[in-house]
Amino acid sequence: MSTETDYCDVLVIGSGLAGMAASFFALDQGLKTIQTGDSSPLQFYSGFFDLLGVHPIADKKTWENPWDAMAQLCQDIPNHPYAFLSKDQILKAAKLWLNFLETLTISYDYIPNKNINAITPIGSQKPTHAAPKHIWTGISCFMQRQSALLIDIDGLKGFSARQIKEALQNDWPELETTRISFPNTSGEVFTGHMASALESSSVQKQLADLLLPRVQRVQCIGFPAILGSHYHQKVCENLEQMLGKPVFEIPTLPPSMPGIRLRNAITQGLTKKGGQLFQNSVTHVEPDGKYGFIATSDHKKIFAKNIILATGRFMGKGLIANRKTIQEPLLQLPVYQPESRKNWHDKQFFNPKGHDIHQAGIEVDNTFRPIDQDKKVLYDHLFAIGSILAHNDWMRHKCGSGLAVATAFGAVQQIKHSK
Amino acid sequence: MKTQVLIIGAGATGAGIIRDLALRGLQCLLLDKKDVNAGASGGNHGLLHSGARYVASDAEAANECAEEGRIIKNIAPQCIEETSGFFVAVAGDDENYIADFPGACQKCGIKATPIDSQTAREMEPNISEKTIAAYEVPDAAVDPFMLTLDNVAHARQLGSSYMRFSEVVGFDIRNEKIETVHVRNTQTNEIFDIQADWIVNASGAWAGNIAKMANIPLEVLFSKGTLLVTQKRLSQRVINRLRQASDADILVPGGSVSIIGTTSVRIPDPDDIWPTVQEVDAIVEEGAMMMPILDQTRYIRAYCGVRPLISQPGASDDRNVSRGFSLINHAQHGVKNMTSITGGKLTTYRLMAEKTSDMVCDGMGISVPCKTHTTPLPSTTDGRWTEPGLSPQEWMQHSQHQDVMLCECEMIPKSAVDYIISNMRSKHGNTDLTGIGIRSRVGKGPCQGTYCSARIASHMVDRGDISGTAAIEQILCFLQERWRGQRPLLWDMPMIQSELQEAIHCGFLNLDGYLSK
Repeated sequence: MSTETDYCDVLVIGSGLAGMAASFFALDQGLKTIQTGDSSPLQFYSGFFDLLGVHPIADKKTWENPWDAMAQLCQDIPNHPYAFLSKDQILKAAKLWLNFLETLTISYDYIPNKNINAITPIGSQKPTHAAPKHIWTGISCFMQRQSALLIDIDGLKGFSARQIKEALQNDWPELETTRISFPNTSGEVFTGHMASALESSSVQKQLADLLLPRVQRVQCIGFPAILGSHYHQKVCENLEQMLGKPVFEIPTLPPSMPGIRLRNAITQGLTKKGGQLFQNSVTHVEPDGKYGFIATSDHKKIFAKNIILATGRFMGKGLIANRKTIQEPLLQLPVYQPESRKNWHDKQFFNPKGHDIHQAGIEVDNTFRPIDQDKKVLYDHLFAIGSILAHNDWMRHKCGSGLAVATAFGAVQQIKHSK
Repeated sequence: MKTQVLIIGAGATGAGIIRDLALRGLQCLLLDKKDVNAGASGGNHGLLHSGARYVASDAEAANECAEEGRIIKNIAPQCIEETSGFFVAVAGDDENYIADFPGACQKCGIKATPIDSQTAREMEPNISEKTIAAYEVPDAAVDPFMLTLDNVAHARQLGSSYMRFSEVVGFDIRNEKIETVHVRNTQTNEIFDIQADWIVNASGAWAGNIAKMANIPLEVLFSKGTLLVTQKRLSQRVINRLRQASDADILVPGGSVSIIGTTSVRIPDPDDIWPTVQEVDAIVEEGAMMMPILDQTRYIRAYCGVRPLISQPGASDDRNVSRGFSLINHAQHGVKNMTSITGGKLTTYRLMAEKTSDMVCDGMGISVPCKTHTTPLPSTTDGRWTEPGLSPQEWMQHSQHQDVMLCECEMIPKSAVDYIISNMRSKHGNTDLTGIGIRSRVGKGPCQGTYCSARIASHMVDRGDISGTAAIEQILCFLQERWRGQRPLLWDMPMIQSELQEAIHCGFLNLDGYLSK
């Protein structure tokens, strides 16, 4: 097979939220952008847009105002990635990102300067900042304690309306439940299949007919996140019209439709903006004196002036663990890490303090360029963003999406600045 | 509550005793503060010893194993996989030990067939290229959970009872006899009393604690052994290292997985046991000398058990002294209706139960002989979901279109979970996720409970078994218990898996925020 050659200003390696956001910001700056990475990461994404929910994590302290939380975090953890950005930068990054999603018909709702509690499929509550419109409808309904009917479906495992109702009974006594058989199915059913089926107006009608007799007394109607795939917005509107009430979704365990919708819409949106998105992974990167970097991906050679590493942690294979150490496989960047595997994980899985391994990752300067042990920048045009960064426990701080988008913005600003 | 014989501890020994006594016509009650096989009976290789392991160190134990192995294969074939076993030595192993091995086996009546190294490697391709000697012996694999569950099920069919979550907290002793046993329901903290004619203390590592409540001195020492479960089965046969018993020298296949171990570490407290990173590394490195693939293969879980040792001064390695069992009549300590049984091996559980039951019957003036060496152990459905790899076969054969697969890694459908729950309900205590885990392969596949914990919890809420709030607590509890076995072997794929688990349960579901809330 012959080798194709591509040139770009920015090569974004990674197709999770951080990579997607980096490609968007780069394209928005008119930079010629290539992104690599397969389509899987976002199917794990609930769609919640977290800024910062918890700090300090050891105290499980939650915050009404994410910016107050952030100010405290940056003071307490000066090498946290958020600490390399100003509030204005983070705010601007989030705004630009959510505006971009809006143009892709995935609009987000939120209350400025406020965290809220979102509802999960097991009835637990999770602090977040913003959510896709039809997830937000449910959150808002919950906050105002409106009466609602939550629907679950025969054969859909891991989603029990009764469980959610019971877990929330003190906070949302107005929630009622009902179980239905999804039209034309029997046995086990899956979110993706139902979401696709619901894009047909006749299935929407069948579903609405099934529900109409049960929804008279409530103000809104909740579903597991199955309301359409590519035409989610339209599916919701049609159902609302037929049922005469607002509908909302609660995200499910992965594979998650809100994440898949985002992936599809963003991929399209970036391509439209002139981005080149390759499904293959980059397997090799070497610095090139003349151009910057040469990256190899399948049978392609990509000459890139700048590289943004958004390869994630272990799931994204941005970090690789063997029995002795943690490594960064693409450029063999130094990885900050606990001294030995003995210290990687605590005895309590849910320990609020988190596990030491979550401090591991790539250390960067305040423009997101990886540094060595002497704090010296390794390459002027190499950036690392998102969850691969050291000193951030996004799972416990509830800051994953905000961190992904804000660090992407920070890196692209530096690229623009140094151009 | 009244019973003829109260048996404390639902490990293999306690289960063997209740069945033995039930077969002799006694009505008994078996208690456990947790659930079946919560101690050493659940924390071992699942090896039905041919006896060859002990020929050099303890000929009596070797003889017992050889005899008992034959009996168990006859009476409980459903629990046994007749894998056969190899003893292999690699370059550098003690040549005197190798030379003495066949003769020692012969003396104990254990058939050991020499196999030349090349043939051995053709029969078991994963054994080391450096193999210098190999013998085939009649080792086998035993499913300890199925064995215990079937013993308990048979005793229950015969009119005896089993109660989970029932912890003995004290005795009333009058006229040198235990009159009343105080028991705490560990789920509700309620205390209730049981009157029994005879008490059997079969609580393994906890035997000293129970004895102490009756003012009986019984010093038990604890030796922790850690084992690792591989994701794939690595051999057809049991593979033993042909040398003096040491770390990581037995690999036992079971269904679709293999188990390598163990270690031997003296510990102060049997309730606080963790497989450690150091032990895991030692097992991987030492095991790889015999089976190089152990250095590369994926592990899915580590676990450990505690060998209870009745204090024996002068012993150098706990493994070499711990295999005999101790049967104690406490009349000598001023308690005339209590017996303690501890130590021993899974392979000799039946013999231990027989000797204990003999002592109980003798004390109670009952002269019915033991029947367990000839009476087949009925195969019940209680244990059928415990075997690695069995469930998918069942599923393929009896797939029902309406069924839903709750655990995809191990292919446990909703119908199986329903069956397990209905079975559990008849054994006292609330339905719990951890109990379902004991009775099936749920949570034991590569995803280690990431998805199935939440799915089964939802299903239990839908059935009305537990509340939505309890579901959250049960997921926390179940995943913590799985974590114990995941934590020391998180590298390569398991690291990725555990990150996904944490991303879902902490990042998405915020369960870290619910800990002890």
